[in-house]
Amino acid sequence: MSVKELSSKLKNRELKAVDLAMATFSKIEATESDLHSFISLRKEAALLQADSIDAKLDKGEELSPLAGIPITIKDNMNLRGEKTTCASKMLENFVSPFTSTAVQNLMDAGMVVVGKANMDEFAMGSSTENSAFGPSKNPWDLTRVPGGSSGGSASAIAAGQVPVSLGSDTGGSIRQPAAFCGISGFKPSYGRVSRYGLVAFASSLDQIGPFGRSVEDIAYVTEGLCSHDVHDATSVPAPAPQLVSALTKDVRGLRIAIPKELFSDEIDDGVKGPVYAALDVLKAKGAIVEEVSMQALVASIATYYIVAPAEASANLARFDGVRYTSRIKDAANLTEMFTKTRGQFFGKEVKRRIILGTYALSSGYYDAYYIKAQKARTLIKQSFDRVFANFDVVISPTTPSAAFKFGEHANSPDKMYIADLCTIPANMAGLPALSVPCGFDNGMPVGLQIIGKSFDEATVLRVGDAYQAFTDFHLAKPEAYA
Amino acid sequence: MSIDKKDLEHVLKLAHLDIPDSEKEEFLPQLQRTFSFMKAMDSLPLEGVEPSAYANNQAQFLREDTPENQADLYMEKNAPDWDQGCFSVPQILSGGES
Repeated sequence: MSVKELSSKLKNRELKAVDLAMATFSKIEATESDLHSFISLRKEAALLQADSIDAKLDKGEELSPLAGIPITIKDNMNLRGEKTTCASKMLENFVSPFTSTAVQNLMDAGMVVVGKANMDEFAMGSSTENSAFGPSKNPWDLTRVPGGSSGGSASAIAAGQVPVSLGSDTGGSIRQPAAFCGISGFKPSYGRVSRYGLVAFASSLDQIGPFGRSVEDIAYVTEGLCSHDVHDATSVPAPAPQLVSALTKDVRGLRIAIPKELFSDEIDDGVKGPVYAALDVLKAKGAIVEEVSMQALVASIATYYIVAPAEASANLARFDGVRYTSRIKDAANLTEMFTKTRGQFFGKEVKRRIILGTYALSSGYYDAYYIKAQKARTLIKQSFDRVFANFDVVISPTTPSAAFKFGEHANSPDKMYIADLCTIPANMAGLPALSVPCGFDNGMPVGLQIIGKSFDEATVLRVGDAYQAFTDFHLAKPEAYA
Repeated sequence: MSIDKKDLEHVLKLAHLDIPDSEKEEFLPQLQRTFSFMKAMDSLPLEGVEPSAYANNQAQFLREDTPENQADLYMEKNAPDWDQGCFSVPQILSGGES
């Protein structure tokens, strides 16, 4: 059921928030052993929250359309009193000292947080195979990855465990798992959603956003998420955008650019086919599609794998065995405590990226790598500026392939990094970007990516919602969880 | 230009990271392959381009420096070792002199 339908049933009291929460936990309990979407559940607290929503609705109070709707949040978002592990041994026992603004906004709107979703450790990865607590599975095929890093948040929606969830997206960590799991996932513009209380990976790229079955569900949650927050110096001082009312299902005259660099040979034909078919649907409904060239995008992966690890190496310096729960035993001195704690409690991918980032920032290499990557970032931004002078949205595949098998890229991190090829540019330029399901490749879902102008979330969601009005790929469910 | 064994040892020191030799051997070729991606930047006309640290050009702001959130921030609960209101760490200076 959609957020709108659930909200209407809750409001007219056909459905109680407590019963909806109970049904959600029953579904989770029945499916979780297959999927491992969650790191932790909070049944008691969620039922209390749902009960208080019921009390308000019984009194006839006018509440947000999100009131009483269950949601799961990625386990890198703080929720006071609950553990926030970032799927790392480093934070295995860390208890959140406060609640992140994005989560607080949704709880203030009455959303019921049922648990915390699995992810790649510190949001570094594209498969959840880097979770210290074991991977999540793709509900379409349990031998395949759900994508990452927000893989648990995506598998939970695809299997119907919860109606909506939150992820975070630094290089594609919402859109890529959304594409792999056949659901919708949205990264708002950088600065639109507060990062306060989100454990930092790469601060100039990180952004929180929602997953849902439909773009309409995403529009409801995004409206609730956005706010200006004085605790995040990059939060934009603007009111939350009106998104649900922007879903007009009209794409007549819409100008769509398709960059040839995002349809290169690295993209599987089985992915290109459904994406071109989706463009034909939009064309038939009145949109105008034109191919463009955005040469700077060929350096997206290079740029990202300098900038993101460089920022991560600084952000993760705080995990040194002094304040955050994990520390090796019997260190002889302070330096040994730092180095061995970090060596022992960080997983391999996190260590690789700390090394990569530290190297790029080190004396002698700073100009050759870090400054060069920041210049390439400028060119990526400028190439979007040029295209958006003549077009409303940029469309591409979300990922180069459909979901791959567990272990397929285990010993080749560089091959795993290719999974971010099409999603990184929107992070580099801070743009809103959506993935919606647009077909299948050998039975596995394929995603269509829609990128919009900075702070023009409304157009991006309008195009995605219109596409879902013309097609029914977003209604398809994996047989075992239908 | 890519990372070699000597660079790796230097970076591990800078990053305060102690990893076993087996991981060094595993990581080095992987890191070298990742650095081979970086050649893609050489095809771009980067000369004279201003670097961007952020996507948006908006000015960042500072909030008023006033105390807030006086709740227990679980410092003691989350500390690996807590002693009389302080984080306790191993000895910093080697002993002997007094």
